[in-house]
Amino acid sequence: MNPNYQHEDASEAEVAALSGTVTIASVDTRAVRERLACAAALLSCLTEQPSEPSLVHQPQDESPPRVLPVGGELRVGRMAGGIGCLPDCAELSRMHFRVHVDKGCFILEDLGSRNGTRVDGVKEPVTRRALRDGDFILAGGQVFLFVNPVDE
Amino acid sequence: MSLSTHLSLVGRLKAGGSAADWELFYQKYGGAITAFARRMGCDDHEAMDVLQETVMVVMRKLPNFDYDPERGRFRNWLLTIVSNKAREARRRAHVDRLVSLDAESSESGALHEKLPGVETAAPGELERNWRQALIESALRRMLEDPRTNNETIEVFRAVALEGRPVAEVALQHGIKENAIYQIKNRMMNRLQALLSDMEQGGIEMEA
Repeated sequence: MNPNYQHEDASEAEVAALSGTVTIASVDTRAVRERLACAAALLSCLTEQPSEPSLVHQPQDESPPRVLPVGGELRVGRMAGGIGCLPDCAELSRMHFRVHVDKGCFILEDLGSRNGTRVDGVKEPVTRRALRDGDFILAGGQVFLFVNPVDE
Repeated sequence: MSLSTHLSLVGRLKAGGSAADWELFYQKYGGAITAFARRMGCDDHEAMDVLQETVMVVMRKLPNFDYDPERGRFRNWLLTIVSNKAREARRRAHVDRLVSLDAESSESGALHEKLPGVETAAPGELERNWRQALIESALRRMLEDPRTNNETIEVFRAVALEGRPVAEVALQHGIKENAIYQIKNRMMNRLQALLSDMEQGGIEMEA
C-alpha cells in the first residue's frame, strides 16, 4: 500500500470500465447496521472494553452486561460450570452451547439444547457455525454479543 | 453553525459519533466496503460479514486513530481493515466447508490449497480494487440521489457508462449535443467531489 497516496480524479475510462464489470446495484445493509447499533449500545454500557475474544452477556433484568472471555473454550448453560454458568436463566438448557477455536476460527456449537441457539436474529437454530465479530447469539431468552478484538 | 459542523465525519466518529454520524459513515463507505469485498471474491453474505467486522474494528480503534486528512491516511487505514476482514471472511468460508467436509469424509485435502482472491492479492491489486469499489459506490450514490432528475441520470448512464455516441443520445432525448456534454461534465464533477470526500474521510463541512 502506498502511504503517500494522493487522491486522483476518476477518469472517464475508469467510470466506463465499471459498466462492463459490475452491476451497480444497492445491497440492503439495514440488518447489519441495526445489529451494529445494538452492539455499540451494549458495548457503551461496559466500563472496560473486552481485550480478548469474549461473549458480552446482556441480562434480561436491569443489571449491567457481563463479559465472558472465551479462552480456549467457553461453555454456557445453567449448569455449565465456570464463568458460563448462568443458573438463574430458566430457559437456558443445563449445557446450552459452547464457543471454541477450530482451525483458527471461533465456532459456536449447540450442545443439544432444548430451545436451540440462534445467531443474528435468524429463525432457524444453528448446530455449528463460525462466529463473526459483532454476531449476536440468542439462547434460552438470553442475548450474547461475540466480540473479537485481537489481531487488529 | 455549531461547533460540531466544523468537525469532519471522522473527527466526530472519533469522539463517539451520533446515530446520524454513523448513518453518514454507512452512506459514504458501506457500499464501497461491500463492493470491495465482492471484488476480493466474497459472495453477498460474506460481504455483509466484512461490513459488520470492519465497523466493529472502526468502533474500537477510531478513538485512537491519528487522523491526517492531508495525507489520505484514513483511506489507507480503512483499506487495511477492510482487506484483512475480506481475507478472514474468505478463510472462514473455507473453514466452514472444511468442517462440513470433515464431518462427512476425510477426503478434504483439495480444500487445504491456497485461497484465491484476497489471500494472494498483491498490494497494487488491493489498491486498484479499493479504488474501483469507491468509484462504484460514489456512482451508485450519485445515481440514486433523489435530487437528480431521471433524464440527467439516463443521459449520464448512456454516454458515460454504456459508451453510446453523444449524437445518438441527443437524438433520443431531443436535446442538443452540447447539453449532453454539459450533463456528462456536471455529473463527472459531482462524482469527483464524492470520490474526493470518500478518499479523504469526509473533511468537508456537513452542516
